[in-house]
Amino acid sequence: MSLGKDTAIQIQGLGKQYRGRGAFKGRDFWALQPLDLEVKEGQALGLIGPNGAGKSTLLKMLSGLTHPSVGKYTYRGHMTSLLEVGTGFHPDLSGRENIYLSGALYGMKRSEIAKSIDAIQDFSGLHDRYMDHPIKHYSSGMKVRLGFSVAAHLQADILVVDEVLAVGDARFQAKCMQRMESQMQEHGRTVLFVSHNLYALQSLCHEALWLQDGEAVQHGPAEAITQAYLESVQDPKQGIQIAHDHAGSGKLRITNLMWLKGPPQTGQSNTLKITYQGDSDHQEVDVRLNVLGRDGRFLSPIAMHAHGFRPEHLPAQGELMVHFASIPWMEGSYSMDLRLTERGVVAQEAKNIWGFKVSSGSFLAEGDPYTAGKNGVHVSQQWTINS
Amino acid sequence: MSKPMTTIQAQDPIWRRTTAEIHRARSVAWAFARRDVQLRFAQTRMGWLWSLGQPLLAAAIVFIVFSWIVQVQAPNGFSYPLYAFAALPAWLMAQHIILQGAPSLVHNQHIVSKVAFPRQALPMSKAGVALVDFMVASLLFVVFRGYTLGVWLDGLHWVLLSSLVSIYAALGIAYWIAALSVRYRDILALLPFLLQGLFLLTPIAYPTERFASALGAYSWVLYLNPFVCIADGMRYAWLGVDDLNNYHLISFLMATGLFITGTWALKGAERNMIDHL
Repeated sequence: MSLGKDTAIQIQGLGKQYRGRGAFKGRDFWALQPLDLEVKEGQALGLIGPNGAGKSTLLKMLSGLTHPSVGKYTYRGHMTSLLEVGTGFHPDLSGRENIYLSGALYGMKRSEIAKSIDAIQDFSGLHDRYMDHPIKHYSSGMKVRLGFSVAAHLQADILVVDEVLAVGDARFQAKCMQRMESQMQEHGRTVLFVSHNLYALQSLCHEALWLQDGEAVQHGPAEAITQAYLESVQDPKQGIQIAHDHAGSGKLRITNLMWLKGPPQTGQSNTLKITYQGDSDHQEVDVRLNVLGRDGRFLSPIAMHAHGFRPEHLPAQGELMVHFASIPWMEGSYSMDLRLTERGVVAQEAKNIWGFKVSSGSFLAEGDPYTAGKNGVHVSQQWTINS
Repeated sequence: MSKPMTTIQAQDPIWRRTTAEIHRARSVAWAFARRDVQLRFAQTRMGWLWSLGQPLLAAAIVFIVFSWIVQVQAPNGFSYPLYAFAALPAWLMAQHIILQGAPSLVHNQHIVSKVAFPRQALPMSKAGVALVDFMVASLLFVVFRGYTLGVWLDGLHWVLLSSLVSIYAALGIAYWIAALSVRYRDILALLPFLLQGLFLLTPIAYPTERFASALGAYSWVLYLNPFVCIADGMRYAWLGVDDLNNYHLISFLMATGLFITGTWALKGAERNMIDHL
């Protein structure tokens, strides 16, 4: 098959079907429905969608980890997939030896690695004397940085990246993003990028593809697609039924979120009702809801332990109430990430599970409404005059 | 445009294999073999001395059990240790490859599920350490033979051929088990018994003539074991005994067949491996 002159990847009718086995016999399902897609050289395509939408399935097929059930794809040049940082690292090997091992796994030649090993070390910021130490003596942050640095120096025309930027400290993440951007501009590298961090995705990607339940929903400019996606999850429903297919042990899960007094309004009181389900009594449960703004950036936590609420036991199923004397969020749309733990073990974790709209109001009864045209949080403060 | 184009289709036949793939398998196997060599005997007191210690211990066990207790006699007036130890290094190499290679996919599933590379690279890489050990053990044997009978290297080309067959027969078995272990881990539970049976059914510690005395006209059945031709090949190479015959061809063809079918089985399992691992 021939490709268009500036096409990097062409995907035609590519799909993956899993056969139901055992208890699921006869219930086949499509992890990804047949999909058509074309990515131009030097472009970055972002994939967005909730968990189980088929993003990872698509990446796994493109990276050759699993074979498609139908369809085909063609790409030009060398393609490398990065589904994890530090793959293949062995604790007993030194930093240097691990660079060679990990690089070789990703298809780099020894001579290529030898050429870029100084650059890799430099990028990681690791001191010379650590390079010949077994990495089991490294801190976890150092290991992540070394893994990233190998990834940042992979030679590839097409790079497939899955959520790897979600780890590491913020400064290092930004450095990696910059590196990816410069590689795209200078070397015409094509990037396929999955991230739940819509902010990072928007800044890196020209185009975005929104997948849901294994089907393509929308494909277009990154900004418009992420907006549309956020609006869909931020649909101001009264409550939400949360589906079963999220990560975590599932022993305890939240099934419904709802504002009791209807859509919240800045400065007004309201109560968030959290309905949960489980098999038996729960201990040391922590609920963390991260409220995100329109651009996907984290704004404020709604967190149980952070507010000193630590009930010893929770009944198998029930409701939790979170009272807000005064809603702090400014007018706009917000979405939420959810993380539910029991004795430190993740029971349920999901990104962008729910959204709500806050209508305009004044934070304090005596104050004026404040609108900035963007998301924001009011913080209590006291004004005085010193004379 | 000089960049090569690659197309992957759902209906690609599983035996399709590109030169790039073979190249990749080799370089990844090399990287893993390097890792294994670097990590060999990490945190042991005796370190590389174990490369000498392991074949010596194996030889001691064979000597105690088969010569002292069972009182097996070596044919043609050879001393028993010389006769038994001739084939031992090749067996130890095969054993290492099977024992380490067969579960290598399951043991490295964190890597297998994140990076795509031709999967036979993992079992293949186990031949690296095995080969180093084989050379050390063979050197020990050469010294031993030189001490008792005088140095004789005329059969060296047979040594090379037999060790080559030993490697790929062992790889064939390792590929088969690795491919099956992705879906059926049960086979890994059987692995120790399989190796023990293979050792006892291979004429390493006893002469091959015993086959005929046990099964008579049906002794060809025992030649279905690929390691028979390797054991006899090694003795032929080092001692000039146990002339090769037509039955050895059965054994040799089995070794070749195992390697070819094993490669194919692993390639077939590669497709949906990560969905089952």
